[in-house]
Amino acid sequence: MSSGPVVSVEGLTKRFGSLVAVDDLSFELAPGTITGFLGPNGAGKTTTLRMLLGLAEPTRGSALLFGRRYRELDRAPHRVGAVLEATDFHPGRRGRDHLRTLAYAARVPVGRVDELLRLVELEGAGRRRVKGYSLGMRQRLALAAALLGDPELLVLDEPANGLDPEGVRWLRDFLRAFAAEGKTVFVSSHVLAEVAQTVDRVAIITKGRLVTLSPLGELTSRVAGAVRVRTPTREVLETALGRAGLQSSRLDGDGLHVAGADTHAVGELAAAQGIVLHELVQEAASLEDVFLELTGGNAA
Amino acid sequence: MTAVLRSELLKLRTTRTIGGITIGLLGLVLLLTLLGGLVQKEADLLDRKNQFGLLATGSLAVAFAAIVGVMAVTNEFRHGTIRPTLLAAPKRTQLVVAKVVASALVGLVLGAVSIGLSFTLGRLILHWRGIPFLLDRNDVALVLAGGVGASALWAAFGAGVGAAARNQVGAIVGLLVWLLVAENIIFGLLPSYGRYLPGQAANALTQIDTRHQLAVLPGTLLFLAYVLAVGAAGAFVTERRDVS
Repeated sequence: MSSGPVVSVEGLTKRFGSLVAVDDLSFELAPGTITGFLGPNGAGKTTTLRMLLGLAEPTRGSALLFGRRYRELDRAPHRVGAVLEATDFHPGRRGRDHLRTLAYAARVPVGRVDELLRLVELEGAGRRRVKGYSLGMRQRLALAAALLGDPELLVLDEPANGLDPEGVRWLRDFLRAFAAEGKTVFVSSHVLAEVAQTVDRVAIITKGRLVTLSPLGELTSRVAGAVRVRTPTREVLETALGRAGLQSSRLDGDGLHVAGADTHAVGELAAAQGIVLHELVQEAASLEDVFLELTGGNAA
Repeated sequence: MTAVLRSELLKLRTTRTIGGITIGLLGLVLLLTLLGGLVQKEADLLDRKNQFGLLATGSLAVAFAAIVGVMAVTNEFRHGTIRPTLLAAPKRTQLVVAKVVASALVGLVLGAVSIGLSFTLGRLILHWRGIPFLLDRNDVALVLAGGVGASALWAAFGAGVGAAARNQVGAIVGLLVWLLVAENIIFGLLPSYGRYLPGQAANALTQIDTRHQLAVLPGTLLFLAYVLAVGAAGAFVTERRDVS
């Protein structure tokens, strides 16, 4: 395995006529990391991945894997596995045959095909034609294809699309186990919550530009959270919060929403004033809020 | 190269397309050979050209072979399998060459079974009707090798067209309109130029005694040049165009 960056994207730009799909994008991924590639639909994620995987040519800049363009990589399927669309199958071909055709081209022993069918739990279904597969089964078959060459880097575009909650959990466990072997994962999604429990870093892009590339924890601390508090003496707490420079707004009943605060601050303040609290909760939705704020989306 | 070629041959074997095409082709050849052999008057079948035509009925495999070639490439774009295919085999020219060669091999088999059927059946019918066999050894060699060779070359031609066009319906319709309509109009109006068009050149392999037709060797070489040119165009386009 190489010690340099697994993925290095430098000034990557892609234009389609007057539309700039990817705009001067630069980032690097180190080995052994799981990075979420996030952005709203149409942000340029798929176009970036297509350039990374040698399917599309950049208008400017470069997208390298292990220091090389995908199309110039030696034994590419043994270093990089990727799923771009979970529906890329001939409907009349059996799942196992789909994998066999790719195994031949990638020079992978056919025994690996059955091994992978077991791994993605399609052992029996592999003998059936793909047109009878559910979307979840297709996702798993596509993942098996990506794993044929036992790659060091796995690139997945929206892998959770169409998966049921059980499938999402299976995928999460799988990716964690994959990364635990020191391998690298780059997984895109337009829904932060889908990958929040899997990734340790996020690259967020919007309108083709990188907004941030940071550890997940750092991202949440970027915005001060909010605290929900309930007390029978709301007016007293409001006054106390106001004196402490904290903004609050009233919720239904006897609740208060305190922006930019954490539970420690609000709890200690209440204790100092002898105020009884019935509830003190850190609002956890802040991660999604950050995402929406950074990508310029509206909280729906 | 052999790895990618093996992969392409496996792709062609693992859908029902080729099976369906073979059944359709053999059914049609059976029907047309029976009709040609049993309905034609004895006087007509006492003509060398007509005997050749009867025994070479199976050369209509060329149309099926061309479609197999087109589909070998365009199916990948239609179903999106081009993405996993290019991830597994990123060298695009090599992929196009493998598809052209794999298609040619399938075309060869299609031509062999198709010509085998019409040749055997045609001879049996002539024998049964007591019509003397008028073809010499060269004619027989041309019926067999020409039909099989043309079928292989047409499949390769189709794969090149498919790689250059990508769109399945567009490629098949375009190819058929060109061969069945455009070429015939040009050939009819300007035979001395029209005979150098691909379809007319290829006819040197499957027909005899057609007016203005090129001889077997120059016709075959010219058609082979067309096959290589179309394949090169397909590889050129595949190397350069993005895959969405």
